[in-house]
Amino acid sequence: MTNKDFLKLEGKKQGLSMDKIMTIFCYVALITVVILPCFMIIYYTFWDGTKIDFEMFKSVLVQKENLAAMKNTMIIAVIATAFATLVGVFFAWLLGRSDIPLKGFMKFLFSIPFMIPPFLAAMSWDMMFSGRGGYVNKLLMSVFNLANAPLNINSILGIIIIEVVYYFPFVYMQVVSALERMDPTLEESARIAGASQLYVIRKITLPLTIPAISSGMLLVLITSLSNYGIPSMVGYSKGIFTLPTMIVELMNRSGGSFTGIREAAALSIVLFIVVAIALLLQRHLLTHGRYDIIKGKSMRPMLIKLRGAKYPLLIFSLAFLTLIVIAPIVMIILVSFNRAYGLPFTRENMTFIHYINVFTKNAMVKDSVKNSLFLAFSAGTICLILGTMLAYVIYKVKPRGGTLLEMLAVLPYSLPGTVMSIGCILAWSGAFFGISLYNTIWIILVAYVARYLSYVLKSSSAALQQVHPSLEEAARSCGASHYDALKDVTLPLIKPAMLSGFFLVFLPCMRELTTSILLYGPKSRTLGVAIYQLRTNGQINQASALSVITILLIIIMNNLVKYITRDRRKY
Amino acid sequence: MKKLLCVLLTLLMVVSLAACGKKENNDTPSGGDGNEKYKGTVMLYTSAGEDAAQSLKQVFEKKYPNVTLDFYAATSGKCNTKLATEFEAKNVSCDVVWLAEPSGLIDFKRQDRLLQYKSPYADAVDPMFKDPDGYYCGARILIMGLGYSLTTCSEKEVPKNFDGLLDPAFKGQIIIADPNTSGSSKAFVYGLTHSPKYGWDFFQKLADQKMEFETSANAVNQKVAGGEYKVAITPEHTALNSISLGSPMGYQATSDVLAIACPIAIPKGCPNEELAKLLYDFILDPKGGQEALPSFNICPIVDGVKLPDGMKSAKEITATALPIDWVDLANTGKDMLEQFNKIFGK
Repeated sequence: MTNKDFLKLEGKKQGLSMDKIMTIFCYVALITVVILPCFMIIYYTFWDGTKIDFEMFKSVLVQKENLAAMKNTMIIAVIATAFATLVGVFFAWLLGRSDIPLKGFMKFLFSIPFMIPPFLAAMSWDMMFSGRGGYVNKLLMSVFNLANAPLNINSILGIIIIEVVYYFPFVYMQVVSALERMDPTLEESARIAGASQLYVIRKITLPLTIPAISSGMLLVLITSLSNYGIPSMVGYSKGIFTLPTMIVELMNRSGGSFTGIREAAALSIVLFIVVAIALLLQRHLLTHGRYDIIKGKSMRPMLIKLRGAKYPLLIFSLAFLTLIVIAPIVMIILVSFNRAYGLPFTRENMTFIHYINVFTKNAMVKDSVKNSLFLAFSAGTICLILGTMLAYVIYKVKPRGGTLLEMLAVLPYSLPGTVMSIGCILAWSGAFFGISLYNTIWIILVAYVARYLSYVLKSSSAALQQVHPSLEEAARSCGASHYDALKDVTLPLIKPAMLSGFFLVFLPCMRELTTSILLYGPKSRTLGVAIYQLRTNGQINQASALSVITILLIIIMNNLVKYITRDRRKY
Repeated sequence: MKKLLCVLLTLLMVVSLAACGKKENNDTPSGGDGNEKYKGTVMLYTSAGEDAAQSLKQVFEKKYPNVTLDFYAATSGKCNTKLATEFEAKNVSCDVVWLAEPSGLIDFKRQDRLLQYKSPYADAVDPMFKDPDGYYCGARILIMGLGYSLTTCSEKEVPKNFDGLLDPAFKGQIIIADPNTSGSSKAFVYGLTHSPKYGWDFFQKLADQKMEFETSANAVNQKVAGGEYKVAITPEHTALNSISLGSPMGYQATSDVLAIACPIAIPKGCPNEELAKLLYDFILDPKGGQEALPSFNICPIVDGVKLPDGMKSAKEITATALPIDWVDLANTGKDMLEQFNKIFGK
């Protein structure tokens, strides 16, 4: 203990000033990354070049097709969020708290939906279950002699199913980390007092995990509201539009004219408002029933014995995971070896030619692997630092306008990637301080950071909310400086959440499409762009081949990072 | 098992990357003719499709060994949107643009966004295929026809003309690339709505037939190959290319011909004007880009290219084609699409 520490301990000012610096830094960062692009979008919506123009916004708002898109978006988002939460919480409880076997294997499977790009997953489900053409549908129809396809994925129901399947891990990951770090004595005391297992779950476990559940739910809701890949892949042919697909559609319909981009910007403001309402609602619900889990002093949580239900549940879980995780991947792999799309999967139709073509004919593939790795690592690291700092500022420092900070950080995610990227193009092509990042990899990085910051913010703040102030206070009362308390108490406690936040950014960046498709330049193509280009050009087999490689790359990277950080993850 | 998998995959990737490296070394070429003096990168935005762009890249880089041709392959609507954004951002990265139909370029021309360039090779292009002021020039011919599934349809069953699509057998079985993004479909809608034989009435009936949409011509072909739809309204070369790759689909030319001269242009403020003109010339060169087109089932626009059996020349095709007034399409395209969307409830 040195004099410096005593000084710090005495003068509250110094501790506060670190908080202040962080607060100011957060504001500056968010203004640069979030406000400027958003401002440009609003500017172009309401400024027609000569005067302020509200007419265009109004006409966009009342158009019948836009209203239908709004309705679809809400229906899909609400139902998908509800079911994703149910499924996510169920599996989190099963893997976090029960004695079900094969946990490691199932956890591995759960991480896979994160790795498959949503548009790719939708493509795969489309190949399996599209009305008359889906391979699985054709198989089922011939085996059971059905007249109609058992499931038509090209419907609102289909979109909901795919979204539930790909978004429930958001809830699962949040809740399982809360469950693993929960103080088991609370549950034990209830059991000792004679409460039944179900009563404990209902009255103790569930309420304690509500912050994690609701933050996971919010992520699902926002992701679903602004997702472009899934509805565009499966809903397009049936004319099912959601707000994001409608926004892109408006832009494409405009062809050359810039009014289309203005209309798209106007519709994205509508989407903004919807998401803002969702966010406010969630905050409102959270303040009515706020819990802190004092953690960091517990042992292993108590596991619930499933007894007779053990094997039925295991079989159910494995069957479910097979359908949602393994089947789509098998489909992609099969198609990647298929000579031409639509041919049956017989031996003579199998070939390596697509893999060879992808690697030898296409210079862009090599570039895209390199670019995506670089972007994912950089965006992950920047988001990790900035997001955790934000969470700390919002929930622990609690400056005036903290709500504003949170809104700002979550705002870009409510923007479809395409609109965000247009905001970035408008803001970073020399409009401010003469900085022109257009067509460089840096503009993609800026957009990624803006888009995925909320992931880390959510996972870190869910964890931070569980670190009771008493822990930091205890450290301070023992003589630790503010910085020491932060470094030795708070940060280690939320480190698992921070790490999972890193993956929440890293993995989506590896497979990102909607943002990069407008931002990439000749030298900055990403994996998502490469796959998308192949797919839209009808080279679905090559697209599948590259997808297989992408998925493998992500699995390898994921395990590598996990391996590196493994030893320090136990608390 | 997981470890084994990892090792295998890493190996696979190393091997394939090494393969890429080798490929590049082999490419050190012998250009000749003083073409080495051209250096740099030229960027092409094209709706012609990835494989056509890829083959153009090969022949172009063979002639100009020190020039790299990069390309962005997407539908015409997307290329137009990307360009419009770049113009607005005052940061154009596209050197040459090659779209399915010229109405977007006519818009750009009016906004003074295009470079006026009278290529020496453009003289060989028929005046009906190009802009009189030299802002854009047709560079290939695209024909719309019918692709059909070999599993759910047959050569006998497929309609021989567009009006055959109204047969009840094709109810809910027709697909087309969305004219809102696809230039070829947009031209198709214009050509047929302005023909006395078809008109808007025809599209009303197609809507009653529950015609559906996909994002691009090639996506349409896959849907047909997969057996989801019996028949597709699709550009001829995309269907023929799929067929040559073994896709289980067929192609039927229609007796009413809808043909489009797909134009190239150079945007103002392009990063490399010298190379842009070089590529522009090369695409129109009967011994350059034009010569490479037929191998991708695309009809060249200039005379003097040896055509494979069965491929008609540009003049033969357009002699019988439905007339399309491109300037009018540029003026009325938005209203036309709005009416189209209304009919199809989009």
